Amino acid sequence: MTELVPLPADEVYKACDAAALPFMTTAELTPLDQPVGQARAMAALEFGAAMRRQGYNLFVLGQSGSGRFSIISEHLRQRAAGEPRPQAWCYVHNFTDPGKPTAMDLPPGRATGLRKAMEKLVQELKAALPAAFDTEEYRGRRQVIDEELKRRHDTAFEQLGQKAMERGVVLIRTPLGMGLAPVKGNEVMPPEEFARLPQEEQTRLREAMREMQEELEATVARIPQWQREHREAVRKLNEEVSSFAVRHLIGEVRADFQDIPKALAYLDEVERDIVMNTDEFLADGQGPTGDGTPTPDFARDADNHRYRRYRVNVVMDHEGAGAPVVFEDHPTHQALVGRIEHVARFGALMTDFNLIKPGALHRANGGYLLLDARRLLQNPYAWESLKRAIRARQIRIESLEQLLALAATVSLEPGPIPLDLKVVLIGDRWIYYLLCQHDPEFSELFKVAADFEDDVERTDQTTIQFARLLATLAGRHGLRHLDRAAAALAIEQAARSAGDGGRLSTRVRPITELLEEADHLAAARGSERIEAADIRGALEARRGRLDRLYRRAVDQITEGTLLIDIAGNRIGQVNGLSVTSLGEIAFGRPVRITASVRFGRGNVVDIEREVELGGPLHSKGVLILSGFLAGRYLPEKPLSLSASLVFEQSYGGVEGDSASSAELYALLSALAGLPVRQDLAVTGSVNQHGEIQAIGGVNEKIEGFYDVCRARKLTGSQGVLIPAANARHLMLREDVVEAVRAGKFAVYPVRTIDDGIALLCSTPAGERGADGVYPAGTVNGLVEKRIAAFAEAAGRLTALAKGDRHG
Amino acid sequence: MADRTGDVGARHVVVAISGFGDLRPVLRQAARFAASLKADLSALLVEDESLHRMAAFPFAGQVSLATAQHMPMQASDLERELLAFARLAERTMAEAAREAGITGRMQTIRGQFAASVRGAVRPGDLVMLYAASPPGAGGGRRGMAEAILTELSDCDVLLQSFSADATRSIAVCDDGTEAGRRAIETGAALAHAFASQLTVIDVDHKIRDLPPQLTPRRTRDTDLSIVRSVLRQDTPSILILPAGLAGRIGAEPLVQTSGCAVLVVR
Repeated sequence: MTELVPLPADEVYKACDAAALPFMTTAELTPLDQPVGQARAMAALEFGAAMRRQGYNLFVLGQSGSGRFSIISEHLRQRAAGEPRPQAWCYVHNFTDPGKPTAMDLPPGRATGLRKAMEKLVQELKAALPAAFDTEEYRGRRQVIDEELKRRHDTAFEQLGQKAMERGVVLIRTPLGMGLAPVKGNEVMPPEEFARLPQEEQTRLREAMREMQEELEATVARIPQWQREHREAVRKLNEEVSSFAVRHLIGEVRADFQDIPKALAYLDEVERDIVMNTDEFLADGQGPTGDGTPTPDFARDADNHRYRRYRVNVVMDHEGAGAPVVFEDHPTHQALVGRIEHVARFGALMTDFNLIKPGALHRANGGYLLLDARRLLQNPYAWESLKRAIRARQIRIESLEQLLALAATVSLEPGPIPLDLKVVLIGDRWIYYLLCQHDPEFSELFKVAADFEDDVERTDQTTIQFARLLATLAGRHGLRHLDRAAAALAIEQAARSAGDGGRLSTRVRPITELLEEADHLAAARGSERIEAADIRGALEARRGRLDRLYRRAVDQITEGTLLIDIAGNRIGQVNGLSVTSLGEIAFGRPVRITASVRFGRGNVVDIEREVELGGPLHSKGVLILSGFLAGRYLPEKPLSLSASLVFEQSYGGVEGDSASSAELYALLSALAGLPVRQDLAVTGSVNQHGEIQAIGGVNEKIEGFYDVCRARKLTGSQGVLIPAANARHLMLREDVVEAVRAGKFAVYPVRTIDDGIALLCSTPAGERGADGVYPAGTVNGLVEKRIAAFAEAAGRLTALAKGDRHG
Repeated sequence: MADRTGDVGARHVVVAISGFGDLRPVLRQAARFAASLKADLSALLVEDESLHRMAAFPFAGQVSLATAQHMPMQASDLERELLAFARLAERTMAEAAREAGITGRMQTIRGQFAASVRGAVRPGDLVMLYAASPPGAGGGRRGMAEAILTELSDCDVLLQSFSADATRSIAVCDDGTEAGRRAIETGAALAHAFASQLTVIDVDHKIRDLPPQLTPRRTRDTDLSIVRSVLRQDTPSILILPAGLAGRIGAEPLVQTSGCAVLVVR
């Protein structure tokens, strides 16, 4: 058992000696080319990025705000700059099966060129083809063909008409066809006159009509064949004329893509299609078969629509040098694999290959794709789609309706595009571990984990690196540089953020925000650099913006709404300390813990647990107390007491075991009948052997009790008992440090329950003597005596009960 | 000569149609023609009475042009078919007039073509004759257009041969008469409206002034053979002839042999 000595001021705050920093301002420092303390993560990143085998994608773990994204994207950008530009990909019309657009790859930068060349070609054809058909030569040849059809018609019907007339019959055009009737002179014979003809003449005329009808049928039957031959002749002429015009123009495009066989094959198909469909290029229907009438708007729209099949839809042609690095901020299924859009035409939804829109996988193909794991998992089917693409090594554009077989409408089936990229997921650790546990494919597809440290050990080297980080951030965000006092304060703040005076937080976002806010204050002062006062001001301002609830809690204690004693002594009552986290701020405050004991069956009742306000860790801490009591006092006899523990005026949940030592102190006080000093507060968990164990939030807890004491009155005797293991974590607020330095407030490092109870009760704890008994008047002696009394009472009761049964 | 380009005197254009077939090109071209002359358009659809006589025969029938099959024909069937055709023609007429930005109306008359046309037109009208039936149909109708041309002595008459580029090029023959002057005015108006090439053939050595924006090709010859020669070498879409010259050349044979439309101007 040792007498507790308060920690000196220099141990409750591990200051950074500004004078020892080897610079006057951070402007003198070289910006960092590697993140602070992330050597392991960077090595993993380097390995994962370099490893080109299947499944070696990366998952980057770490706290949000750690600067992972900036570090990774910068690293990958540098790496990608030295890698080859990936092949360009485009979709073109499939002339054999338009429902399955063809994916075509071209050398980098050439797809855009092909697209422009095709646009120019179509524009030129729109002018060149009508011009080719507007020549005297074409018209002449076409007239010959048309006249041949007309000649056949005319000759056939003229001969038929003459023959009919010779036989007394006339050929007459009817709305639907042609009829025959007896003729008189040049006119149809009136029926009544026909009836007056001799029967032989009537018979002759009817026979002539029957024969002429047969000939007429035969002549009309030949018309479709003449028309077919006419159409064929026109088609051949048109092909000949258009071939000449098209070959010349498309030849210019061919010359530009002579080195790309796929493009040449595509151009061959284009040429064939244009020649076969020349009419579409003859504007306003004034083509070789047009009648010269104006084309309505909808038909003109349809014309434009038809030219769409000669377009080139470039889905990927990385413009910058090197490989692409793409971050998809909204990783939905469609944003990843692309989508097929539709347009409404005449009430129907239509689509074609031009409406295929690329996704992030297309844009990142041949390079790197960065995704936020949480957002990815939040978007339905995005994760599954990503895995499918990685697994199959190809991008297949499918809508969710198709994927889930929800829609049976005809749509496009774009040809798949081979996929070769490195996917980098960025997420919290728990997401990584959950995926590892629940998704068997995850470990196969994301074999490299890059785990970013939340903090680094605070050494001279890392301190300088951190100062360089400050310089880097100032440069990157256009902020003023820090003088060394400000840098020292920022470094100390990083240690406080880490919750450990011996470590530095590597979370870049809070540091950046601190620098931005300090820069704002420096600007308001008209200073050219950030000074310590700016850092301090920024910290205080931020705390001031966020601590409304904390101030309210302190006020309630000061006003007596929340009952906390900070002076005097009370039996079975200890000031515990709790921490409340509210978003960006965490604060501590004292909580009154009371204990009452009585004869009973050896159970310690935790009121919080009974009313389900206590979490499992808290309950575990309370149960440990029973073990401690049973093991330490009269171990050979059953524990015959009942105790109850309460967090007074606690209306929310209690979690964690950091109050278990305070609860034990309250119990011991109640058992021994010794009052506990109320000017002290306690934090720390305890094990069954009475050893005090480290807890979290030690700085906030101490500061919380200090604020309450200061608000009422600092007496000089007030202080906090903390686990000795937490002493290295101390980075207390400046005013608390000053109070410690002035002897107005004390922080006691405690190793055992005995050390703590002796201080709290101002009574020696007492050690078991050679006779196996704790000295009388000590805390342990009094506790064991009380427990022995309970045991004796229990024995009497047991004997009485036996007597009753036997008597 | 005054510049009367595009305004050769507001007239009424009558397109007289005999027979059946696709009337869209006919009516569209007539509407554009009327619009270029700033004239109204009337379509005269003549239902030949011969049809009704034919349908009155108990053994009447027709061979379908679509199927080459013989179908019996009764008078009631014919009435229905004629009514349907007239309605279709009316819709086509309205559409063509709307496209050309003019007013147009359709009139259906039952009777002989020549008599019906004579009865429907007024002096000063421009009459466009269109017979849709194949040449063999109607038997002795050849010469009908020539007969109508003779009878309509106070109207300009266009003997039609409709084609896709009916206004591509225009040729005018000037014989030095008043009709020749009107022929040139009409040709100039049409050439201006349709942006067509205009050729003027002076057959009387008189060179008339033309509107400054027109730069026609000109040839001069008193011999009518040059007209035929021009037609052989470079057939115009429309040949505009003064009436006297048309009578000497023979307008209807010219249409049948050259394939161009001939407008006879009084």
